[in-house]
Amino acid sequence: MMTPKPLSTSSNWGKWLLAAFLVSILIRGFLQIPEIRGRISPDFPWNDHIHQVRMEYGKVTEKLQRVEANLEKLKNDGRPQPLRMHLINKDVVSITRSLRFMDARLASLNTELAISLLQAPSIQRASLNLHLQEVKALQADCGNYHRNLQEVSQKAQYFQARLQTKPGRF
Amino acid sequence: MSWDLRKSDPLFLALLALVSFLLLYNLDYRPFWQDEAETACLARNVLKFGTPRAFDGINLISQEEGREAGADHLWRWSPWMQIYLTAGAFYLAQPSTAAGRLPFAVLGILCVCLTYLLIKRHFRDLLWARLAAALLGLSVPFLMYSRQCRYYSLATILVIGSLYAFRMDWQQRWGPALLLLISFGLLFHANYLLFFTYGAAFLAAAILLYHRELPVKRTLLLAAGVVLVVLQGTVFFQIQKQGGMFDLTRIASNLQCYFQDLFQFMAPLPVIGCLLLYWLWLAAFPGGRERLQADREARFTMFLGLIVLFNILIISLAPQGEHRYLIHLYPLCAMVLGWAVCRVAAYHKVSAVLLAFLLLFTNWLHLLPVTRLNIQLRPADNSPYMLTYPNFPLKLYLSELVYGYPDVNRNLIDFFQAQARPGDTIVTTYGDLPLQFYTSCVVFGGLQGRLPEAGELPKFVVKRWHTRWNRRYDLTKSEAFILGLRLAGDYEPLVLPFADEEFGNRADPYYHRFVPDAPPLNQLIIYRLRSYDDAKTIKHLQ
Repeated sequence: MMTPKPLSTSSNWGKWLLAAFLVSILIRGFLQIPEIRGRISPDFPWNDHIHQVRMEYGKVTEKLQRVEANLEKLKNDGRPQPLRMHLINKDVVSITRSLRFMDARLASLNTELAISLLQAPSIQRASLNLHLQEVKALQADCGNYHRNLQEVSQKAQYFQARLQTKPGRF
Repeated sequence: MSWDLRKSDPLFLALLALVSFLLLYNLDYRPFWQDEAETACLARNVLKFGTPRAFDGINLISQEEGREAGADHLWRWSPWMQIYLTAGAFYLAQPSTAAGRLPFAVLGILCVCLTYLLIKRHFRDLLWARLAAALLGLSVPFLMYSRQCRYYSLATILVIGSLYAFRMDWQQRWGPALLLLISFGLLFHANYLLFFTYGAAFLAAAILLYHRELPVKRTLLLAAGVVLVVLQGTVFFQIQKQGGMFDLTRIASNLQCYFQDLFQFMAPLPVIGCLLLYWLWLAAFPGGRERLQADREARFTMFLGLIVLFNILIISLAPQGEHRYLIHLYPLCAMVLGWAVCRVAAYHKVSAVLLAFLLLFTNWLHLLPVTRLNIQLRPADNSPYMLTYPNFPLKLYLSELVYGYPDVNRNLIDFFQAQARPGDTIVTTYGDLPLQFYTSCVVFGGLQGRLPEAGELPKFVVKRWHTRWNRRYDLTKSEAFILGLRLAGDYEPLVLPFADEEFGNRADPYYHRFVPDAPPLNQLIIYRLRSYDDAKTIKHLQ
């Protein structure tokens, strides 16, 4: 029968497990650097830009929902709440900035992809076309968000004006 | 690895030469950006008036709508030490980019020396001392901040000075006690936000871990000394005026940003996690206190770790979550990480070599785990050639130093130096202070809130691509002013073939670009008054 031994920090498996973890970071990190990634996948620059826009899109969605919820609370409560107004204004500014970036990035991607599509060999066209469709879909979504932003901004401006002129009840 | 203190260390000297090169080479490769230009313009006014005046009769130095100075135009927003240091350099070598940055770069080199000496002298561990110095001196964010004409390296060296004095026999001898007092007193005059946050964190960590070594009488005496030094400054700089800027809604997001910054740029999450477990095991388990008392190195690194933690918790109350408020913690992180590598070396040499390589030359251990956990912070307008992406940071840093960068402020300065006449008026939505420093124009706008007289049209208008809002989330006055101009009718747009980036040479690793984007996302547009060649000022005809 085997005698149980206490777990020892000097055991070899622990040492090599640590080394293996560090080597895995080393390999994964090396494969992630832009020079290597660009060689492995020629679509890397497009993918990276589209990924950034998608991330920003997620943030904008979240903030728009938050602004709408805050406006609703403000309306139902009937009393001016400077702190809530402050949060709404902060989110509106942040959404405006994000949308401006997304518009510019998507327009730039659209142009670049369209040019690349004309010059690309037929084997790459399918994937470039796919990216272009994705960009166009995102541009359409951004258009909707611009309209949403305009609506919530108008409501926010209304409440802001009321807050400044009539500090009693809305 | 122990070493005779008197022996010179060729490896450290080689490291120091490398760090000196990295900090001093091509110091004026990019012009001052907005914050640096604020210090430089104030320093130039010191040479002119003897004191830092926010208004020189032509231009107003302000980024807070004129709140930084009173009716006497004396600068009261931030301490003067960085301004006088820059003024001294300007006095000796004429106002220039390199002269403004030089004293701070030299202080950066001294930070690396002092970090090395602290460990070598107090713990007599040469490997740890070398590693800590290398981790600090080769840290790209630290290098970038130290090359700025701003308080960053100044505050950092005072923080290391306080730790150095604390490890000496300050309880018995007056020299180290005085060094402790001077470090904290001067830290206030370098940046009082860092003084309050670091000071409180230092005190709390010292009480928790070194309470037996804090003699009540001398500690109170030192505290009283620091209070005396600080008190007049607190009144003079009207710190209470800035209390109104506190934004409680930002605390949670500040905390999140600071911790993400810590993991992404300063100390990787896996190492921090392991250290936390180790420290907890040391302190919380039966016999832990005795173990901690016996292990001086572990106790000191735990002390540093607690300072970092408390500092972040306290700084999150400040109105802005900025990486620059963590810069003085870089040496602390370097010392803790250096010690972690030493402990790993005692356990398994191969792993220690791998860990040291990852920490010194890559940012992979910092970024890959946070990416996997989906807590990575990348700005929206991002490039893979930034520190927010897996890279060899030193390679990026050297690329920028050697090949240069099409800096947005440089392009604007070059344009106005070539196209504008002395005394011409410029309204810009941002970057007004670099233009004030490098051109002879009257520069309005930016965040200063000062605008041309009603009815007077500026000769040049720079509507930057990135819109600016003030702290109340209203458009800044310059943005609103430009919206009211008839740009299409009265001005001729000049599109420059350069990107209109948000800041220029800002050192924040979250924003800093080392390699330009191709093609740029936007372009610089300067509007020139159509009747510019005919008249000096033209009344606006509606």
